[in-house]
This record gives sequence, structure tokens and C-alpha cells, in this order.
Amino acid sequence: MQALPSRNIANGPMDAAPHMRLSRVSLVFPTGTKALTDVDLVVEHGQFVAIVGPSGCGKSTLLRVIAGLETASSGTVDAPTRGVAFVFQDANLLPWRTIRANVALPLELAGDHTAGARVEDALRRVGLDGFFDQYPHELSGGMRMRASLARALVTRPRVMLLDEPFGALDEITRYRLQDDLLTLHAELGFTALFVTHSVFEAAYLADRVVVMSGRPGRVVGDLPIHLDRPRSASLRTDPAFGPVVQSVTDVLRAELT
Amino acid sequence: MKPAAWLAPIGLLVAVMLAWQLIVTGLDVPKFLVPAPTDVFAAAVQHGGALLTGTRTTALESLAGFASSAVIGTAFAFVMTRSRLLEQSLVPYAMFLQTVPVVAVAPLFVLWFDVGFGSVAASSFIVAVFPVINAAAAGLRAVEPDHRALFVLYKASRWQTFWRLEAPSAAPYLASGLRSASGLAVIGAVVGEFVSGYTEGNAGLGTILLSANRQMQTSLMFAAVLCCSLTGLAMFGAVSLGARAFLGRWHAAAR
Ligand SMILES: Nc1ncnc2c1ncn2[C@@H]1O[C@H](COP(=O)(O)OP(=O)(O)OP(=O)(O)O)[C@@H](O)[C@H]1O
Ligand SMILES: [Mg+2]
Repeated sequence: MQALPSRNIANGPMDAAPHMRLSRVSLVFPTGTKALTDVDLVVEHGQFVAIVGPSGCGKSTLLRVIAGLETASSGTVDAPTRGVAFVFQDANLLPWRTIRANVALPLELAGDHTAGARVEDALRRVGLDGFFDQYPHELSGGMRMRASLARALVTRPRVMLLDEPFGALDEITRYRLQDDLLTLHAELGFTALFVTHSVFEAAYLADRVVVMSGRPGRVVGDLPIHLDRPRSASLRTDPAFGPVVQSVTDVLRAELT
Repeated sequence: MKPAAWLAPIGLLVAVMLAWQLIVTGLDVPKFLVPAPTDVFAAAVQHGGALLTGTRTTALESLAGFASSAVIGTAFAFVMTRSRLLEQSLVPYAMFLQTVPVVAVAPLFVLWFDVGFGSVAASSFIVAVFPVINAAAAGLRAVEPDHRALFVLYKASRWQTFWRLEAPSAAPYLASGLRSASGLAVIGAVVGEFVSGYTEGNAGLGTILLSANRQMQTSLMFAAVLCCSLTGLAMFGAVSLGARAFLGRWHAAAR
């Protein structure tokens, strides 16, 4: 028997309880596409979880369900409904707003019009000092993604949902943004769900890597990453790093074949 | 602009005028069939006062038609895109109205608004309003799904979503709709004058065209046509500049 779809509200940290819990979540689109089947996922407060899986397996759909942008067809989703930020693959900035106005948007929508200092603070945190009054098309892809991160951070979210945020960036920029994201995570302590195609990126960033099957997506692997924090650039060439990446790759490859 | 960008078309104009003059005088073409550029110029000077008044009259009528089409067209598109049901109910009628020829309905406007400004502005409006509706509706529907997701995520109200998302998304579309409407408004006004323009003191360009045609004053007709084009161009230019200023620095990236 399948549980009716439901969405329980779990706002605010209750230390014992996990930050989010998905039980037997399935989603069928009106087109008939089965995007998710029986996804079970428990995420603790402050955890950094990476999600990998073959293309089209429902990773974005899973994040959208957690964000409340999509409703599960069945199963239960226990996730906060407030204090959730979403970072999209292409920075998803509004082209008619300056960087400053883009970052101010979430505060504006919450009715907070006196937030200039918080906006500038968020932009400084992501290293965008001096670009406040540029328009998105006047910035590089990496800078746009930084602005997108600042927009997500400006509300001081407890949950960051990131959908392949660095996928379109060149390698150097991606490394830099990965390191900045780790620093922000350490400082601010949010819970992060990070979708990526790169096993390397997943292992570098996360406490846990969740592996999804091909469509319809299920969770087929859940690997803890036992690497010390804080992690820094030298880890990428550390002898201990290779085997960790290999272990994730093995699970993913088993799924792909 | 580089000099070539404006020198080239002016050079072409001069060449065409010269050729035109030489051919018409060389072949001795009758003036009432095709006047030479010098004849057109002479007619323009001779009827300068009437042409100026006519241009002003037609420009004001076009402006009224354009402004009302901008306001009413945008409002119509807004209502139309509020719900699927509204859109499905309204689109067929919008299409139907669009296929009604102005010349056919202009006499009706005379009944409703009397001869003169009101009925001519109404003709101008009818011709200009559909590009505005089409463009504004397309713009309001063209919101990026991920932009919308952002507004859903932050629990924006309908009002916030309209002013901060839908209206700016539609703006570049609306701007191009208004550009087409500005030229069409002049055409609608001239056609309206053919049917219902006034004849006394401040006759518009359409009225001048009609009476010059009856009197075989072909040179004056050419001059009046030129004034129509200039009026259309001026409106188009003003709307383009206005749109560019309104869209600001973003226009470089806008569609
Ligand atoms: N709104 C929608 N309507 C119908 N089908 C959809 C919709 N959104 C996604 N899908 C389908 O659901 C499946 C999962 O899509 P999803 O975008 O979640 O995959 P993904 O794992 O994020 O893929 P990728 O790695 O390529 O980003 C795909 O087959 C996709 O075509
Ligand atoms: Mg995706």
C-alpha cells in the first residue's frame, strides 16, 4: 500500500531530529514520465550531501520536490518550508536587475526593504566586491554564479539546494568556487544538497554521496566520505583522495551498466 | 555610427533622385503621371502651409490612436493572460477583429464619433492595437520557468510576481510591439481620413491626398505621401528611442 502524499513542516533545528526525511517518495509527471520511485533519504542538520546519478534520472526533480516546487505523487516529504535557498545550474539571475538588485530580491519579496548592508555583506562573502551595479550580462559565468550564491545566502538559509551549480564553468573557476562553497558551509553551517555530474566534485565537497539509479530514480548507494575538514585545494592531489573517488565511481558505474 | 552608415544611403538617395529627374525629363513623362523630384519640391513649397497643418493633424490623430492602442492593447493582453480559460475565450475574438478591414469599419466610426478627429483616431487605434496585444501577451507568457520557480520559492505574492517578474519579462516584447504599432497608427489614420477626415481648416494628409488625387495634382500627392512617411518614421524613431531609454543598459542583453 502506498502512503498518500503529504508534506510535514519541520522548521527550526531540533537537534535530535534529522533536518529532512523523505520516505518512499515517488513522482510521475502529467506526461507519464516516472521521474522518481520510492526515494528514501534522511539528511542531518549541517550535513553536506552530494547527489550523483545518470542524466535524466530525476536529480533536479528530487531537489524541486524538497524545495516544494514540485509535489510528490506519493510518499512523505519532511523538509523545512522556510529558510530554503535554491541555486540553479545557469545562475538564473534576472537580466533587468543589477547584481545588487538581484541579490536583494529575496529580501524584497519578504517585505524587507532596508537590507542594503546584508546585500553588500553577501556579495563580499562571495568575492563580488566592486561589481554591485553591473548587470548580469556584463559579468563572466563564474561571477554570475557567485552572484547567484550571494542571492541564495542573503536570507541566511538553513538549507541550500544546489543543482549542478558549477557544471557550466571552466575547471579553474569551478575549483575556486568549490573551495569558497566549503568555506561558506563551514562558516554558516547550512545543510547542503548538491547535485553534480562529477564524482570528483562530489567526493571533494560532501560528507556523503548519494548515488541514484537511472530513470525512474531511486537511491542505490549512500557512501560516507571520510575525509577531514577543513578540506583545501591540496586534497585534490592527496594520495588519500583517489581511492575515495574510485569507490564512488565504482557504485555509479555498477548503476550505469 | 560610422560615416559609411549614413553616407551610403544618402549617396544612394542622391543617385536615385538624379536618375529619376533625368529619366522623367528626358522621356518627357507627363507631370500628372510621374512628376520629377523638382516638381514635387515645387508643390511642397507651394502648398507648404497646408502640408504642415496636414502633417500636424495626422500626427495628432496617429498619436491618439497609438497611445490608446498601447494602453488598451496592454490591458487586454494582461487580462487575457490571467487564466487559461480567459485566454481560450478571448483569443478567437481577437483574431476575428484582426481580420476586419479598417476601410470597412471606418464608416461605422463616423456614425459613432462623428467626422474628424475621433473617428480617425479610432481607425488608427484599430490598426495599431493587434501588434500590441500579440506582443504583450507573448511577453507575459515568456517568463523563464526557473525565474518563476525563484518567485514561488520565496513565496512572492501575485502582485510582486507581476511587477517584479512578468512585467519586466514582457517589456522587450512590448517594446517591439509598440514599434510596429507606431508605424501602423499612421497608416490607420490616413486610411481613416480617406473615409472620415475633415475637409475644412485643418485637413489631414489623407484628406489632402484624396483631394489632390481628384484634381490630378500628382506632384502634391507625392509630397503628401512623403509627409506621411516622415510622420511614420518620426513616430517609429521616438518609440524606439523611448523603449531603449526605458529598457536602459539591459537593452543590450534583451531580445
Ligand atoms: N516538468 C516536466 N514534465 C515532464 N517531464 C519532466 C519534467 N521535468 C522533468 N521531466 C522528466 O523527468 C525526468 C527527470 O528529469 P530531471 O530533470 O529531474 O533529471 P536530472 O537527473 O536532473 O537530469 P540531468 O542530469 O540531465 O540534469 C527526465 O526524463 C525529464 O525529461
Ligand atoms: Mg538536472
